[in-house]
Amino acid sequence: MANPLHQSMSWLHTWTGLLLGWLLYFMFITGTLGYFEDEIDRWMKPEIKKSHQIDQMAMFELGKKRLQTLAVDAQSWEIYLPASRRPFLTIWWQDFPEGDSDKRGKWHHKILNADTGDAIEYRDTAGGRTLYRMHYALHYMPKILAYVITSVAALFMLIALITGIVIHKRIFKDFFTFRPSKRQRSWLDIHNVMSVFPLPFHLMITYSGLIFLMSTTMPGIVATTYGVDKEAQKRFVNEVFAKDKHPEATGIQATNVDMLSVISKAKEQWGDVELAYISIENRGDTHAHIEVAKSGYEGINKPKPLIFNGVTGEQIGIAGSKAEQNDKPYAYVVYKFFTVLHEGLFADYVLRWLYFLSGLLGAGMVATGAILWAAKRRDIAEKRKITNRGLLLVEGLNAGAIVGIPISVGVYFLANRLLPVDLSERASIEVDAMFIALAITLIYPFFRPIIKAWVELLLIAALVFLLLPIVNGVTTEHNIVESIVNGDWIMAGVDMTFLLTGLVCLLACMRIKNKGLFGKKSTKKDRVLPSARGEIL
Amino acid sequence: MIFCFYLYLLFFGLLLLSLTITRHRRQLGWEKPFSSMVFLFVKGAGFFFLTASMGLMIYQYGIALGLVYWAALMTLEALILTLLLSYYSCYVKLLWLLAGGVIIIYLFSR
Repeated sequence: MANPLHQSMSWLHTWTGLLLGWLLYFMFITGTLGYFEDEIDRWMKPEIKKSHQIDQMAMFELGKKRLQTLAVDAQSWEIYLPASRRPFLTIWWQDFPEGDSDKRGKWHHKILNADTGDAIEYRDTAGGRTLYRMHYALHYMPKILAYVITSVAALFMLIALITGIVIHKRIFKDFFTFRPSKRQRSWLDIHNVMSVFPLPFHLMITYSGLIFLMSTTMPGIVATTYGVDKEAQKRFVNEVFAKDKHPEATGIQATNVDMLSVISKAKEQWGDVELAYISIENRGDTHAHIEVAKSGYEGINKPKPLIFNGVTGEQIGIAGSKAEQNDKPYAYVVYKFFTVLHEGLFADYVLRWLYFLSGLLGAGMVATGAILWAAKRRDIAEKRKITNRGLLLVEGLNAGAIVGIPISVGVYFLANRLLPVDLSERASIEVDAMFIALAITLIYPFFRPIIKAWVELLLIAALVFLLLPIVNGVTTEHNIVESIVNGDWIMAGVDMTFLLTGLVCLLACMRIKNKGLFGKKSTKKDRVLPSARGEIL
Repeated sequence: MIFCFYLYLLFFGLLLLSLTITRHRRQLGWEKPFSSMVFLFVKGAGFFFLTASMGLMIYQYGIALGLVYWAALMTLEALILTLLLSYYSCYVKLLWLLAGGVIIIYLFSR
């Protein structure tokens, strides 16, 4: 029973899991929401209405017309057509560089009404992107510090996963096992279920997360080849990731070919596909060139856009980074593979929901692990009648973080709807609201009996999430019924997910109120703790 | 449609594998342990169906996307099976018949 490897691995599993557990939970929640970044972004910009226009070429014409009025003097244009997950018609344009020619010109963008081509003014919001960025760049701190913190957390996660596999002796025997209402046994079962089923996902997401931040975690490797000076990192990035250098403008004026003719050339190659964007760089120059990209993915890779000469309309080539075009170095291929899997941009809606589920299971794994840690020590403390300050701290943080982080995300969404639309610095106030809510929920359990704290926080979470669709319906014209009738499935889907989350919180709240965290009062038989069987700890 | 078939194949494989574990075999209505031949057969068939669903998905979606799909669907279906076994093991028997039935119908309708 007392296998020294097993014991030391148990110790490692317990402490690497607990120490940054709440941060990992935060990363799992915000990262998982990141899989629906675009959808959340759409929800947070309710001024945009679903258009009835489905003809992409008509929308392209609208975009072009708008660019001709807004950005006649721009160096570059981009027109993003509504495709798959992004339902907006968006135009981008870049000014000519000012004076100093080294600096690139400023980019501007507008979202257009796809029926009329008018620019839509929408509220200033931090959007889905800020929420998703928090899972690696955190907030309120310099990027580099955040990267170090999140890398360390990811490293702890990886250690906890591997030690977890080592110490899980009955990984096959207990594969499908969940025994409800058995106190700690149930928590251990569900912890195993949440860890083992999505294990490929957990390993992939943690390892690829580390790889993503490799220049932060392993700067020495880049430094051996590229040196340690300020420009070293830049040289490395330029050599490996930089896109092909686009031809610089010559400054000689030339008439550009019609973009429509280029599109029809692209469609000759692809057939009648849905396009993602059309862009033209160095407008009105002899070195103008036009890019056409189709939407969707080929396997897990994005199809490369086609590039055309902007004067003659001939195809120049296919875009892509240097390393991809030449002989691909293995390190690059591995890096690319893992990061692509991590981001899951290729996933269609079925796979996207499965990614989402796996991410939630990851959050659940961290949460149940932390609850188990506290449960074991609570039993010992009660048996010996001692007060364990560390235990009280962990119990408080558990309630505060596990329920508080979802609450704070809900508050972030509420702030988007309830803050006055013309508030200055609105986007950053939304984020502030989120973290104020988080701070309050983290402190709250320390002033309440622990079970009461769970019940009350869960009730608040339920209220927040059940309120969200209602607030959305009242403050905007997107009430959930209308969204469904109009076929605005992104708006309706986000609202329905809120409702579901609220209901789950309400159920959990009622369950804990009636039965506590560990089901019925323990009998002697239940008291045979998992630890007595030499499993964890 | 073909996607549902993969789902069933995967679920069927997991179901057979759960039958090789004493606790779940009892939940599914077999009180007596299987003879070693039957045990081996069930286990082999379970792994066969898992591998077959993986192979089919790789064939359809390509190696990378196929494996991602397979792992993700296995997560979902194993979770569903676990919850069914814990709370509704009586209905699992029904599902078992359904899963088997769908595979047979599919094979015969080709």
